[in-house]
Amino acid sequence: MKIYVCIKQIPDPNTVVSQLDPNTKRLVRSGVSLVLDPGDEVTIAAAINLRDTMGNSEVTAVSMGPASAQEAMRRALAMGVDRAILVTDPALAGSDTLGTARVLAAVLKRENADLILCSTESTDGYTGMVPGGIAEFLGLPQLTFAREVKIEGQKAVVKRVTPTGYLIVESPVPAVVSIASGSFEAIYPTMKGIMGAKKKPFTQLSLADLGIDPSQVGEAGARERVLTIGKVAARAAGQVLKDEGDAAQAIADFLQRYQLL
Amino acid sequence: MANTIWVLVELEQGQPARSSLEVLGKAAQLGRAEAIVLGSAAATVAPTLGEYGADKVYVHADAIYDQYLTLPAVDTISELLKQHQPRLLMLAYTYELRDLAARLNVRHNMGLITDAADLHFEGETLQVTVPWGGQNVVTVTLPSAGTGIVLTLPKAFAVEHHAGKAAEIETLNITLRAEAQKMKIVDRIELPIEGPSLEDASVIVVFAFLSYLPRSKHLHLMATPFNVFFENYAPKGALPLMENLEEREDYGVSKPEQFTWKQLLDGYACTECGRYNIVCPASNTGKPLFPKEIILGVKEALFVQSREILGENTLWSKIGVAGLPADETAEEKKAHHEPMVGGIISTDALWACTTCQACMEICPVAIEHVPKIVDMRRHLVMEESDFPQEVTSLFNNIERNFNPWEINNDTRAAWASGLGVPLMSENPDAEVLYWVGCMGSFDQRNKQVATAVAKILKAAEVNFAILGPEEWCTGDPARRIGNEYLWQMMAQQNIETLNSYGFNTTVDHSNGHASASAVAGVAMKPRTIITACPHCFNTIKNEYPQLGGTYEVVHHTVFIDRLLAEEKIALPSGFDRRKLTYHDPCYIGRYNDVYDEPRRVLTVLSSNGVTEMRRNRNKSFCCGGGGGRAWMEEKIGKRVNQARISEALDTGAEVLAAASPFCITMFDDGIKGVEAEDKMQIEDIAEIVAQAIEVQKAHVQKS
Repeated sequence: MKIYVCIKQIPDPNTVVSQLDPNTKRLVRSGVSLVLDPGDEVTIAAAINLRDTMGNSEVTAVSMGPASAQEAMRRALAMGVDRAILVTDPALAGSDTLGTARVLAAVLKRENADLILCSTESTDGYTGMVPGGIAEFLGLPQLTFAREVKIEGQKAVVKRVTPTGYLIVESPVPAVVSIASGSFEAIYPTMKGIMGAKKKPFTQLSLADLGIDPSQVGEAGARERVLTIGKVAARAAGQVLKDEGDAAQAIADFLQRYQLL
Repeated sequence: MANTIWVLVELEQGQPARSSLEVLGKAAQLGRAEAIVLGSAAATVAPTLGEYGADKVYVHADAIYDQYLTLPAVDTISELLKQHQPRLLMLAYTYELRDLAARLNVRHNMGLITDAADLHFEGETLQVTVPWGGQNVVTVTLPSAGTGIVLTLPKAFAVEHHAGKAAEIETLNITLRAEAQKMKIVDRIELPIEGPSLEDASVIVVFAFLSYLPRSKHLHLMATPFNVFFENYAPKGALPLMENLEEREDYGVSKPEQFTWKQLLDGYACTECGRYNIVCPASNTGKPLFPKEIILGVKEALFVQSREILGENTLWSKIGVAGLPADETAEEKKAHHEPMVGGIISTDALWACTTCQACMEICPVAIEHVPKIVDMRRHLVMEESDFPQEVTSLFNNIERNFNPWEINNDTRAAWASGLGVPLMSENPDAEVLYWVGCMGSFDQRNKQVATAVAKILKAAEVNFAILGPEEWCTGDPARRIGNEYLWQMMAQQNIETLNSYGFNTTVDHSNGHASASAVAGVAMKPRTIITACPHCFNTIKNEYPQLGGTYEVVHHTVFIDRLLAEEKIALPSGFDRRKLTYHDPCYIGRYNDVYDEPRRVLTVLSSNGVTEMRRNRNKSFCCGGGGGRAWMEEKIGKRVNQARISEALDTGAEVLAAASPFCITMFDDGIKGVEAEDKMQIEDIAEIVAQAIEVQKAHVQKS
């Protein structure tokens, strides 16, 4: 089975306070520590587990991003992914989720993917719109928020997380599956993995290679426009209640006001 | 004309979802609100939606929406979009509606904004407020032509009540496509909440020679003299360097033949005396680690696999006696296939080691247990990626943030703000570099120790500086856990930094000029690095030379002892009237033979001298934090830190003087565990000294 996993390099969410450039209105990516999205580490583990249980399968990582994203893809290869495809093109800067899904779908179509794994959402933008977007471009079913994935013959079966439990959902393959964060244990690369990653196939593609018109992606293709960037207003001082027998009622009223009760 | 806004109302057990009603209320404020309700209960819910603000409701009552996710609803809305062009489709931020939005966005090239906290129109321009990155608020808009999608954050709006309002109802006449029935809900489950290598030939010779001997414990009679003779005279705190990391075939040891001949000789030399029993912190607290068993396990693995290893190269074949001995029992045959690591020697045993070296100190025949354990850990980490799960984040953090936590290394000097401590970059001629370490820099408790050290250095008028963000984790925990690669990465960067400031004490003749300090024109006199962390101290002093960084490094207790001897600081003698005991950290004690200096400092300060614990100096019992254990959970047996705290409490001391940030952290935790916080204080020697300096200062001012 040809398994694909869509990944992204992002500013390290643990140490970098993400900033927006007031001029370009885009995420500041220079001068900050960039890492493979920690959510994608989990998704990669899911893909590798599937490959190893099914046998006769390979895992390919696909990403869209600047040339620096190669480093994140090397990490994926070190974890055990078999090969990597990076789409990089100056015209891609400022792409929205629609543009991103368009580009990734174009790669996956060329590759005749059997199963496409994505993280439920990235750990920088958090929109969660790309997996469904890819599925729509390719006309495939989407099994999202999965905490477990199984392939049973020509069906993919997932446990889909819900706020109160889970659903068991199935669809025919090929399909897009999005993996809920924390569902699998990330793989720490072995030395063999790190050294082997340098020798694994690494393809770099441009928009022209994919036959995509630059006007459909990047800032040119984005429908959304950022108008202003402001700071969050400082939080007003809280209210101190002294209990004179009526505090419980006051707290209940307060919670009621915000529909928390 | 008012904008038309569609809201897809989700159904939960036949009722409209509250999240959808919140969005419907907002839509009614913004313009003409039109609800879409799909599913078997749609027809009964539709007439109630007017009261929540809907002007119109599109209804399609079909159970297919309940059985198949997303696609049928996407199809229906697509059909509606062919007939109508609302300004917006507003959706609550639920799993199902996020999926629906993603597909509609692509199918109709709509434009989409997620995570909206609020929205309004200014004239024709949509303005959507999106919180971003915790600090920013961004205003985003969509083109005024066509329909856009806005997903709003949960609880952004209140449910609105429009008493008595009735909505116009349009029942849709749509046939759902079979192709859209792909993502089938099969079941719904509710959960209750809740070393130096030798040429192969000589290894074979050692094997051939030794495997001839009887396989009994008395073998040591022959091997012991060799073992003591070949004793390692390298610094005992240094683990062997793993060379050529990028070109090696194997990493660490999983099979006995990967040990060096000297390491194997240990197995033969072992007298099986069991003295480690008295000293090993793991054996003493119910962990499955018995240092003797590690050594004997290696020997056992060698025996059971000797035929495989040797092939035809046995002593018997060498001297022409063929076919001897073929007496392998069934048990031996089974053992033949049992791996050494994870089989004969359990991984739990390997991870239980605190690398305290108490076993090596007490061993009468100079066996080296700890390097073997680390060699096998190296195999587990670098070849198998098999280690306690909690260590993954430690490795990732050291690699990315250059400290063990999810903290940006740029803030490494933050503890010193306001203390007037210069950075090396500001004071490159500083005579002393205070290597603060990660614990002193970032850990709340140990920042107090760092502050005390800085105060002492200032009081003694030492010309010193710290590296701040230029200081990286030394890599010690990574190396002890078995991640040699990560240690070398950290060490190389630190060596480069230290050399750039001219701290290297060796002269490099290879490229025809002297060390970096001379090149930079900085004074050539030896400059000292001091550190309050025994782990930083040991690895910089004993292990960085393996990668070309040789430094004059002293532990802070030694430096304070020197300051006292040189009368650079004056302390009120015997000022501390509390009863003190002292815990020898393994990495300055057994690893580096620093026993007297800390005691001398305490003896000056304390009116009572030092009350020793039952196990002290080279027999000191580990706090449990070494060898990377501080970063692992302690799931088996009793807790090592509590065992040691109990010994300290037995002395009746009011103060446990410590000299390592890891010991302090382990003991702070241990004393809470035995509920004795009110009986004993845990203080670093530097803190006791800094207090004395304050007292002295106040005294001088008074007089």
